Amino acid sequence: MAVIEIQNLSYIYNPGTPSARVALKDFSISIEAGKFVGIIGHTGSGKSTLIQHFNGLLKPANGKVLIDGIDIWEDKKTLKKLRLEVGLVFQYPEYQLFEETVEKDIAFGPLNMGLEGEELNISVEKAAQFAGIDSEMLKKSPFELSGGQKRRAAIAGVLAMHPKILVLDEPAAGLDPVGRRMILEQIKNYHKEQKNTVILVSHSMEDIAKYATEVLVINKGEKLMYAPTNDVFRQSAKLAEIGLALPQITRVFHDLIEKGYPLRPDIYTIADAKNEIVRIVREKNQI
Amino acid sequence: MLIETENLSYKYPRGKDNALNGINVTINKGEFTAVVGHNGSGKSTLAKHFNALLLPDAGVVTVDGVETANQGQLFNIRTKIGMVFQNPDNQIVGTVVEEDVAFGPENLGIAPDEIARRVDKALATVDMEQYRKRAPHQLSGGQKQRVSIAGILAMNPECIVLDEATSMLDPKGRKELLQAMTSLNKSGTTIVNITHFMEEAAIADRVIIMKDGNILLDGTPREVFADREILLNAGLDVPPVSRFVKEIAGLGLEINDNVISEQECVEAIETLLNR
Repeated sequence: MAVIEIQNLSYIYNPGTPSARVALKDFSISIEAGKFVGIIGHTGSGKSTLIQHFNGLLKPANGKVLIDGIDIWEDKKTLKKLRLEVGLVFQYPEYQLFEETVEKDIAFGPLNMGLEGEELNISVEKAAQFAGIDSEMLKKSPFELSGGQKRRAAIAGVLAMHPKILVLDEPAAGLDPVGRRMILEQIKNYHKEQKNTVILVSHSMEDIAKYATEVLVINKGEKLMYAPTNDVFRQSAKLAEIGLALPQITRVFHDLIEKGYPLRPDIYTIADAKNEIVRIVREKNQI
Repeated sequence: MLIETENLSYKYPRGKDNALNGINVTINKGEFTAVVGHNGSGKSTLAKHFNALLLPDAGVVTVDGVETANQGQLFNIRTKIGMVFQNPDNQIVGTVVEEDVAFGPENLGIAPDEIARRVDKALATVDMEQYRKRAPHQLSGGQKQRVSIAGILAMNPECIVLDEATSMLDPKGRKELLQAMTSLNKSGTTIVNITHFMEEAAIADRVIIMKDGNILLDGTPREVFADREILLNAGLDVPPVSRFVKEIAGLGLEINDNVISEQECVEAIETLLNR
């Protein structure tokens, strides 16, 4: 069943003024529960506008947003309840840390949801564990942590609310390669264990190829494609047309194919590329 | 040489350890250098010493032979070494693109017709002439960063230091900014690009790798990307194509395992398949 359903959504910034700008037009999508969806598109394509509709931060000018089949704007009470089911991690979430200790910061969300006592502790502990925050770090002030640690603490604060849908906007931006991998692996493990829906907005085609099961491509406020990752990346010409760069290894393979080498075009990760080269070398040696 | 640091050490007032531990590095005129390192390795701290945004606790930094600690020369140093920062929204002051670019030279007390000439030239260099009358908020991230560069160019700098200037951009914006860096360097401007993207480091002439406030490696991209283990230990990685050929070589297949660009990777695979 669809956990998020967007029906004919339109959104306009500064409506009725000379600077009015249509951010999304007649946008429809249905996302099944348990998927790991990657969202790609240019800056200004409407990605952030779309995800802010998932938990009612923005109200559609037209169209509907349904979470678990319920129209979130139907009445105020449902909106409040549904907001707790959609955990949104903004870009640079570490700027939003504010409590005295990391532990208190992570507990802020669940506390406001009405969790207390043992239940609260367990939820904070588990979230910290998922985010790779150890017990020593929990007692520290968030401002004593490194950039990557702060980022993980901020993500833990959202995980602690057990969102049914976890939405992350560029969670690895500005991190070094090891910090980047760490955060994404943790999100992957969380998804695997909790079986919730994860939505990842990223400019890194490498990361999308590696982690997402489905990809949504947005261009100029419209849905260009929504399909399993392989099917989307296979349309390299279409992606290149709107200026989205394919992963580096995919570009290498496409170059080789153009030169006449009989390689598969749907190679997006280093692991797949390795297998493909091994296959072709073996084939050659048999002849 | 343009910038030289001698036993440069620095500790942030509230920091536990030194952010920089006795750094000795020289940036030569006309070089295109990338500085990479894990979060907290000291790369931005080092860059901020290049134009006296920070002053050493110990050691000396000189720009064109002038010590950055010499307060009387601050204006001069900042005119020579310009900086572009991470967030495109935090560094534009004008309400119109061309006014923003003129802000620097106006503050240097340059004559109006000369300012106009410099603004024209700077906007042409970063390919932003057609946007000169636009409001900055109407521009994309990559365009804003190019306006920031133009603002520095209008001051006729020797060197531009970019502190993770591509990290908030989409792939297209990154590509535009990298093209601007490359063409500026070709016309003689010294470039220092601080980045987390190894593919960006690979297009520089020289890569400095930092770890825990020290310089771990300093060489051509080919030299520093030769040993993936060292980079992984420093919280970094090699570019995807370098990783790929190393993994293929690890299987016992005969392939050139020291490639740093897509082009070289294509050639290495071709050689392997035609053997």
